[in-house]
Amino acid sequence: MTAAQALPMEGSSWNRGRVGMACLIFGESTFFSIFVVAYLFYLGKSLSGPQPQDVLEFPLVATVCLLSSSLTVVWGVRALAAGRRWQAGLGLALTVGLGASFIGATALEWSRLIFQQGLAIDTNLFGTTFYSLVGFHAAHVILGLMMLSGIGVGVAAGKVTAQHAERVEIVSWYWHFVDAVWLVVLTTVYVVGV
Amino acid sequence: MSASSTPGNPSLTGGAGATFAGSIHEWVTTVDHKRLGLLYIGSGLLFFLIGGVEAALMRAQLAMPGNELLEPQEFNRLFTMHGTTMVFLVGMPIITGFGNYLIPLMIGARDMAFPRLNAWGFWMFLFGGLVLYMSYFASMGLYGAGTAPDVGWFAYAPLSGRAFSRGNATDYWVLGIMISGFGSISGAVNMIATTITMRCRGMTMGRLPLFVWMMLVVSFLILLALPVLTAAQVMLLFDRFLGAHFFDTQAGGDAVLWQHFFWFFGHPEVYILMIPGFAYASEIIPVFSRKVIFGYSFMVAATIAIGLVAVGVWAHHMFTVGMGRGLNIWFAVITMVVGIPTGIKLFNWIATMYGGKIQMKTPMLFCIGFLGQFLVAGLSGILLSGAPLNWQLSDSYFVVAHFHFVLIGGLLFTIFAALYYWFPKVTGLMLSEKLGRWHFWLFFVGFHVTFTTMHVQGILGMPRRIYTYPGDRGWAIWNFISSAGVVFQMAGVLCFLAAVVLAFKRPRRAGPDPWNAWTLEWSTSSPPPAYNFLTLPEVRSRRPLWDLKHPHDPDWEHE
Amino acid sequence: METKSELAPEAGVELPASTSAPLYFALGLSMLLASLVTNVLFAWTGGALAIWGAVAWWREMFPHEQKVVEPAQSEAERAPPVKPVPERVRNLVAGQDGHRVRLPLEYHPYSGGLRGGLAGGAAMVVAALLYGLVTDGSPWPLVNGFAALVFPLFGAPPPPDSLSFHPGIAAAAGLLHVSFSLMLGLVYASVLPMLPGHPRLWGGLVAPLAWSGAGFVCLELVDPGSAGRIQWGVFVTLQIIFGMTAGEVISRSRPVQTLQSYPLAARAGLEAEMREDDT
Ligand code: HEM
Ligand SMILES: [Cu+2]
Repeated sequence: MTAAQALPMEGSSWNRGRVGMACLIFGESTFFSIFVVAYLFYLGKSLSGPQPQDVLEFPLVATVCLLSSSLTVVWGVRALAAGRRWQAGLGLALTVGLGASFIGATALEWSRLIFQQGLAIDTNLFGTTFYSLVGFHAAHVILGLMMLSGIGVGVAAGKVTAQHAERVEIVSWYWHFVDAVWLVVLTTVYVVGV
Repeated sequence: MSASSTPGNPSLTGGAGATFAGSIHEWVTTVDHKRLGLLYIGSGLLFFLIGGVEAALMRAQLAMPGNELLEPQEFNRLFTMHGTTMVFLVGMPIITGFGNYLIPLMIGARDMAFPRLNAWGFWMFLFGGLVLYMSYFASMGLYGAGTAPDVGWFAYAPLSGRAFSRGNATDYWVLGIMISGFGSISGAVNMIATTITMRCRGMTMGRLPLFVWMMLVVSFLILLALPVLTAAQVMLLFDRFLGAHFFDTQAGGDAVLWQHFFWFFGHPEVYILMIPGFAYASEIIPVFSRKVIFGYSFMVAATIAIGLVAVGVWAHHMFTVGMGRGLNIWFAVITMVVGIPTGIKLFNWIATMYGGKIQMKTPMLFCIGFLGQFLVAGLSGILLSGAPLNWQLSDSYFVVAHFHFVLIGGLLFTIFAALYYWFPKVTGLMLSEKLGRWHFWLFFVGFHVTFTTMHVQGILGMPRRIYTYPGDRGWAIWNFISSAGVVFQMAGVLCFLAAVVLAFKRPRRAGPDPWNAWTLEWSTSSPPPAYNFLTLPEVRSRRPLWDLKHPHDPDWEHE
Repeated sequence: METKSELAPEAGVELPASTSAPLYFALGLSMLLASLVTNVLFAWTGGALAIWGAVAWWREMFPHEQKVVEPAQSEAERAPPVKPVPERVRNLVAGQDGHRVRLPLEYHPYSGGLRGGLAGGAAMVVAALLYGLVTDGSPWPLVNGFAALVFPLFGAPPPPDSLSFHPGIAAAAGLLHVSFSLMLGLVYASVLPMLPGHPRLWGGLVAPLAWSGAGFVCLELVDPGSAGRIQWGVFVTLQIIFGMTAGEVISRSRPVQTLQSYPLAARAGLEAEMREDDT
């Protein structure tokens, strides 16, 4: 027999976890695209108020929280890979804290919209599309938070260590994705939409 | 704990010496890709029988004008459940099942990339199907009565809205399909990750069996299409439960948006169903022609092209909704473009057979039937893609004929071919050639009697989805013929079942490689051991077994 | 993330352990969703099952993936190694009996097609002008007639009077005529070499007759008005003049060889397998 053949993915960092996560993100993106399309399609077509420009305020604090959490998660994952346990725990805790503040800000915004402005999901097309798009994004943030806090607890308990860094990094991809979706939602709803 | 102590040899009967309960336990807890594949295919075939009975009932009702066998409402439920079942609970699981079973074997791997996710996907599919069928008993909630959904497999708004579909039947449709959809999405993720990262030594992308390539494209299409359906269904649920207005025209919503979303899923979906048929044919035709596949790289390119174009043609299902001249022209032209890569494939299969030593075994018979019937289906598709002609023929039996030519004449024929071809690998037993031939000819004749005639009814103006019709329209005789064909098809399917039973009753051992084939799955025992390959194989060409069988003229000298 | 623990193959192979976690997780989620249309009991049970399944799944993966060792098959059960077969490989040979008889071994270059189209078009124009001069004393009636036929398709009005010269109309008609001729020339160049016999026969006679006939039938059906305005005899004659000229010019262009003249096996790596005793 002649010389051995190479393993096809030898030397590539694309292991099954990464490919799987990339695929999941691809599928989720199609899911979100449809809600974005619906939002844009129905923009300005509500038959009755309130309209976006009357009630929406640019969510600066929430945005800053969520975007910066992408940095803290990178910091935490790097620390985990390098075996710096406390720094890793801190990074994850910061991430979870920032993500939770984002959710808090969303909750405040929603309660203002619902109770002061009288905008519910069945009020008009704006309410319908707004709550479903923003709500699905928030649901994904919550899902990400659950995964990250699970990992955070594991790190604090010393059970998640450097040897799991690869898996944690893959989870962090999901978090970045959620962040990226927020940029799209932000542009659609708070920039283009008002 | 019996599962881990009795090492499972995934033959059809469960682990050696296992008790019945033990073997059930083994099957429901399994994460083995072969068993999951069989579970998928097996449940798909069960749903196929259910969907078949539904179809037979409809044909019985339509056999005579003015027939009163079924209530109009019952008829609506039947065509809804039939279409939904055949697409989501028969087509999808069977193609996923074959993918699951064969991809790891063909690329020289021991399992899928995510074995547990694989099991989850199967159960989601199965529970989704059960939820859908639960509607028959439970969809009126506390009233204790049930009715199946009756809004058609595409559940057009506003018919599917609260105002026009009371009760929960439509919700069962949404939820059942959504649940099984999650399963399909996870299956696609798994197939992509497996194909990309689990290949054995030497299995470069350029050497992947065409089957694997095509399932890869299908998986991407699933990731692209199914979440769209899920999103649209979520919107429909919001409309129905929370009073949202996505498809509510009273509040400025747009019912046509549902059509766009549905068909943006729906057209890729039909290719998700058809490309696996191409995949089976691309493996079977070369083996029974004793020739290498013609134009491998063109087949791959054509598959990718079909996948890309399939994303841009959805509104050819919507010509009659009034989209305007510009969109009509775009969707007509781009739809016709699909014919080009599809035609390339047909020519390549024919060129593969050309000059070969063709062996007319049952799998090959079904593949040849597929070639002719798929050609007709493609041609009627091209006809339908001309917007003006479509205005005449849309929603008529001509469309019914078109898509049954694709889905039965194309997909189901190749599925039968695949069942006959890989059955010996899966069980280690041969299926009877004689019954196989009976199966083919009965089914072939029945299929044409039923569906070729439907073109005529369509041209004569018979709309689809009507539960009966007056006798003076000239449709009666054609409908009668159509219904008569069902008998032959059922007889054909019975032959298949008989062949399966007979294979176990009077076993004829198949050995590892009964067809003298060339891909890796034939190098391991039949049925394969749980680990597939004791030592992982290494390949140097697209036909590793050919290389071993022909050391003086191996493929890698030519590729 | 892959934990590679290579056992000696004879001892068995490590595989993921069976687990019911995915089943429970799936069942829980399905019940949770189905609770929308059934009963809150479904929601509670489903939620509990889903959490239970998720935790069990997590435990399955963490801190280490659960595996079992699957013992190797006995020698007797294993598939024997694949052995060389006593089959001979026979390559297909082009032109061999029973195979396709006519292969397009060479084709006419596209440039030849373009030239042929132009020449045919020019010949047609000359003939048309002459015909006008002879019958009506003015060269323009056929030019205007052509415009009258085609312009309505593009929404433009037909020329007002058919005997005099309208520069705009003549230019537009000329443009259309040239592009039609070029396209036909290209079609000729690619199709003619595939047909047996001389290009003048197919290109000059058969093709123009075929499309004139088709045009006659279709136009008669869809637009009897314009069909009536066409002098079909003249029409067919002009087409034949085009076809003859174009076919002649194209057949004179120097043909280019196709890959067909290379051995078939060399081009496609084609081969067929057969048993020794078949021959
Ligand atoms: C050359 C390829 C094809 C073309 C040009 C084509 C074209 C079309 C067109 C224009 C329609 C709409 C008819 C109408 O409702 O008025 C249609 C319907 C349909 N086609 Fe195809 N098609 C092709 C291949 C396929 C394939 C491969 C499949 C499935 C495997 C398929 C499945 C269907 C189905 C299921 C419908 C009917 C959907 C419904 O109304 O319920 N087609 N096709
Ligand atoms: Cu389509």
